[in-house]
Amino acid sequence: MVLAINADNDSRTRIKEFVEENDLQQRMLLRGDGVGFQQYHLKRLPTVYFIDSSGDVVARDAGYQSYDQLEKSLKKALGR
Amino acid sequence: MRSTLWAENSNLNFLVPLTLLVAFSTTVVALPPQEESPSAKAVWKVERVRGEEVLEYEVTIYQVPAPGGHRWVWRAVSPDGSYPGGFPIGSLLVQGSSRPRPELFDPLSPGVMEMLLSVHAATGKENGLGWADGTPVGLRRQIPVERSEVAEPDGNFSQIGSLAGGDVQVRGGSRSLTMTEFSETLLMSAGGALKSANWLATLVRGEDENARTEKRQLKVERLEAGLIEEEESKEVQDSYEFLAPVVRVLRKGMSLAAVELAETMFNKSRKDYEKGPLGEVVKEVAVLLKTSKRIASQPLDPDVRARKMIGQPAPAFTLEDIDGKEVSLEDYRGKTLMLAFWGYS
Repeated sequence: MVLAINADNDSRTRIKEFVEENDLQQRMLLRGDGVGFQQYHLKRLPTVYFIDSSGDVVARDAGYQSYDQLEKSLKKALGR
Repeated sequence: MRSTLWAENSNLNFLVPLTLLVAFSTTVVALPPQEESPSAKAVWKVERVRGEEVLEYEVTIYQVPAPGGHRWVWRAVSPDGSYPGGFPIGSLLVQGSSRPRPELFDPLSPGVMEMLLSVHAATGKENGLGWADGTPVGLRRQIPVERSEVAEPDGNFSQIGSLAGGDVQVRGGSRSLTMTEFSETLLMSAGGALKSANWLATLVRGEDENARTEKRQLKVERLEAGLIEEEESKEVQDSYEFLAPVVRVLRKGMSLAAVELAETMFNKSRKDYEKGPLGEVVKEVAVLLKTSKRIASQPLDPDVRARKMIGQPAPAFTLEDIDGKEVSLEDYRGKTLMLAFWGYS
């Protein structure tokens, strides 16, 4: 599952436009700046966290990532 | 506290912010000599409406002498006892008859600022065509108004300004915003002191079938006002000067060393000021200092802090999704999850 969390406090309408224009399928959460910067220690956007099925953080990729890097992290999360 | 009745006596009209403005006083009554600069306290009831959102609170404002003018120090309290913003204290410096200069301006509690600035701007106006400050209804621009004065019972009078020259386009383009209605009503006592004020605006977003109407209002009512003894004035001043540097450190989120220094200074005389007129604020600042210290003692680099998260349970959160539905991390228990934090910039 992918949760996309907007951590830049962009407005709901602007995000809606973005989602529609790009036909994004993942669930989009708003106003995640507090959660992101305080609880998840973001430094730059985008940052991706992988959480395994037991709810533990297994990987963090900060900044734009190559597909390979993301796949590596995902495998870690899946325990492969 | 012993206090004299507020500003019903026209000699006290220059107790400006809470009642009347310097500019207005000069046109109506003679401005008293500058060296007379008594201290005063007033309590106002504030009600702010922004579409669906309604905010109500009471604000206590002290006016204390400051070099070249005076300072207003305020504290706002919601009906439930909390502060309707992020910070427990704010202040404005007014030098001579100039525009108020925010010092420890609290961006999270703009209602108080709006009230003070608007009252300041509004009472300087004459009759006939003029301009009103849009700040009270959240528009930082001048709005053309037609002004008139209406006599009320008991010698009171109202100054009324209403939108002149038809609709005002605030913003054009695809997300247009138009003001279709605006009014500013100030109720003054016979002595010229402001008793209440009300700003109302109707805004229309978008056009034609997509148009949405939004009502905005700022209503303030004076609950009490009076002069305060020189001694109390000095206590407010001292408390403010005691709190100001600490508050500055807290607001800027400085280094651990700075927070600790502020804490040391604060704790040295905290007990004395807790008994003073700003005692409640002192207590709140103590709590804020604690939180600040905790945050400041974490490593500065988020990447370093994040390293500790690997292998640990993911921090719980609940956020709204794009359709307004609440989503918790908990909802996805047992699933492998990718959290993508993103932003435009």
